[in-house]
Amino acid sequence: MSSYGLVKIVVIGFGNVGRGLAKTIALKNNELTKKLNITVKVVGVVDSKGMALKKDGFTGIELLKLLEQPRSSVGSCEVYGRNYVDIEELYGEVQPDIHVELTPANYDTGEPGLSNIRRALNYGLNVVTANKSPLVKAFNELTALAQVRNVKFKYTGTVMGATPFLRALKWMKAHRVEYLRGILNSTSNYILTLMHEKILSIEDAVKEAQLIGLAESNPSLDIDGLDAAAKLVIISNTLGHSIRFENVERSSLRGIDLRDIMIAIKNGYVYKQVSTLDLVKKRASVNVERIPVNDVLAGVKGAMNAVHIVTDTGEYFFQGKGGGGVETAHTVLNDVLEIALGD
Amino acid sequence: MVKVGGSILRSTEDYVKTAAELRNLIEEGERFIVVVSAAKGVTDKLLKYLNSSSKAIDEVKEFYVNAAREIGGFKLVKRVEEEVSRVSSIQVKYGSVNPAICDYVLSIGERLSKIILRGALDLVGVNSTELDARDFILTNNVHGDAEIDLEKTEPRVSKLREFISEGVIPVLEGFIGSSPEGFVTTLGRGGSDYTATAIAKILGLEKVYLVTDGPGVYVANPSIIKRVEVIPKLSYSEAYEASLHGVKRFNSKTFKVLLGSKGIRVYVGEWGKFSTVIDDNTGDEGPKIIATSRDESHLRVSIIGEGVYRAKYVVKAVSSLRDLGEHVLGLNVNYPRPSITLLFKDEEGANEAVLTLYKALLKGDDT
Repeated sequence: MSSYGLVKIVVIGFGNVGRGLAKTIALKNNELTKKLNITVKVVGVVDSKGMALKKDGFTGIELLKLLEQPRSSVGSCEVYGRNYVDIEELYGEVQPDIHVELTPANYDTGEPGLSNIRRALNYGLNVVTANKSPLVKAFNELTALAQVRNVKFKYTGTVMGATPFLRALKWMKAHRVEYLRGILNSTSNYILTLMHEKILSIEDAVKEAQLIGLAESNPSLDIDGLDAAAKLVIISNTLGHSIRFENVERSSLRGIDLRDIMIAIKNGYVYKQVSTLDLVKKRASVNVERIPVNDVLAGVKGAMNAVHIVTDTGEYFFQGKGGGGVETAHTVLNDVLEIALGD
Repeated sequence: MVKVGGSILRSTEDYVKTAAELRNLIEEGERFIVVVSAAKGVTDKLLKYLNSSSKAIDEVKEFYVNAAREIGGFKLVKRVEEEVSRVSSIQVKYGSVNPAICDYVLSIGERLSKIILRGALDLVGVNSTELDARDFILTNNVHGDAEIDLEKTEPRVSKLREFISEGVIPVLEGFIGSSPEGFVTTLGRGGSDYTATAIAKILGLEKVYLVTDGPGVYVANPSIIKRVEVIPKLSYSEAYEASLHGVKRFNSKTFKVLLGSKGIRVYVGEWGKFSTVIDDNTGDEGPKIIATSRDESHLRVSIIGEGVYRAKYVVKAVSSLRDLGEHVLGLNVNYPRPSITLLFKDEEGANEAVLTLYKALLKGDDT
């Protein structure tokens, strides 16, 4: 770190989570400084078209004013904005301690996150990310690179966004995790909940999820199981079992209609998008399953996520909010603080 | 605390005038938080949109985009368009959708208004910052009529002091909050006033200005009684009671939240003329306001004031109405609340009663 108690970060990607992080730091920095004797300084913010830099860190008010910039316009902010992106230049000028990678996921290439994280690690920076796709593409490479460069690489926000499940899983070093089953995608769970509770068609439920800000304009990543599959890849790799994204079996919510829902309800079942990782049989899947209403996952509703894990010593159940800009930003910030605290 | 009502936000110029008035307050040495409502008529248009009128959302967009263009230029326009696009891309039908979505759509009016007012404050040189009420105001999950959870809101709202101490005016939208599930909630009609008084209660603020398009709270309906006076002073409980009887379309939670509080003075009026003060002092007993309201089957005329349920006031009210007996359906003495209510079967009788009661109880005319 630059000096005791001060941690300088650059935020790469200024969408929902990036903005949530800036807002959280603006509103909570004083509290964190009092509690932990650590001050997080945002020294650079980058979006797809530009960047804003301030060597001694943006004040809380300045961060809130950055939030008033339209999307992809951070480069046009007064005084500190630059209408181009040059991350090497950014590093050189502001000398950050941590690169926070929050660009959107791209499961075809992993970009731009993959190149950004490689560059940051090679530059000798600690990295925190909530972007799943670089990990899906190059988990082993990136974690090994961090080790070689002797820097920290944290990605707790990639799975169950707002819930520190990965942190707990990593901590359970003495346990041997054998099996995992859960609901890992908030959007599909919200859509299915609406279909059951309000008897909405999938089209209407998707529209509602979009309006409420949960689903993207193209909901495919969520309802076709890609997002949950990426999370299984990250979980499996975190546990030391390398699996490929392409090998995760998937089925889509698109196959479910209201007739299926009505029959399921009548017979005491519900449909859920269930992610399963069987480390003994080395199989991973994201399937839309009909499960009994007394199944522990049946009670996980709306935007909640949950994971049931079976280990060699017992079974554990984790439940919490899956996503949300500010909520996931808190997980990202916790990773930043852990690095600052030397963990 | 300054709450800017939608009734004074009818045009782009009104936002600039409001910003200038806020600057004047700063120059007078005041430091404050601003809570802003949607511009006049916007919430009604959003309700129309929810009732499947896509034209209504276009009108909302047009109003705010024009204001953004005139006040802040390209960047402000882009922000307005971003916000509107979130709701305008999908046509929704009121009643068939999740109430959380209705609240999300309705919240757009206040959020856009806040963006425009922030732009106007920049224009007049006021150092301010835009905050998102969803990050500060936590409510229960009663969509459409949510109640603020004061205990959970307190630690968040306390941060507003930090902005004020740094010389920055925080601007946040009224009427909205966040449910325990993290979804937008709305506080009901007139909810921005409630946002303002709830924050004032949490922070122990001494003054709340509810800025509106009239000089204060009238003692009776001005459409029935011409040149009617403004009541100079009400207690919290009188104001709460008045809100329950439809006076000034106040949201009743605005004053309910203040019941039992000490030291918060609520000034109701227009810039430069806040003629009604509402505080914890119960003051003199007796009739203060003649209110009119309507439910499904009755027209109601209510006499509001501390102690009006006492026999002497009831007798005076009833005897003054002796010539209107055929119009009166009944009488409710709302003890221990500070009101009595007369029920009428027709508007003619109710209006005549307002006039008679006004003369007899408020003007002391027994003839």
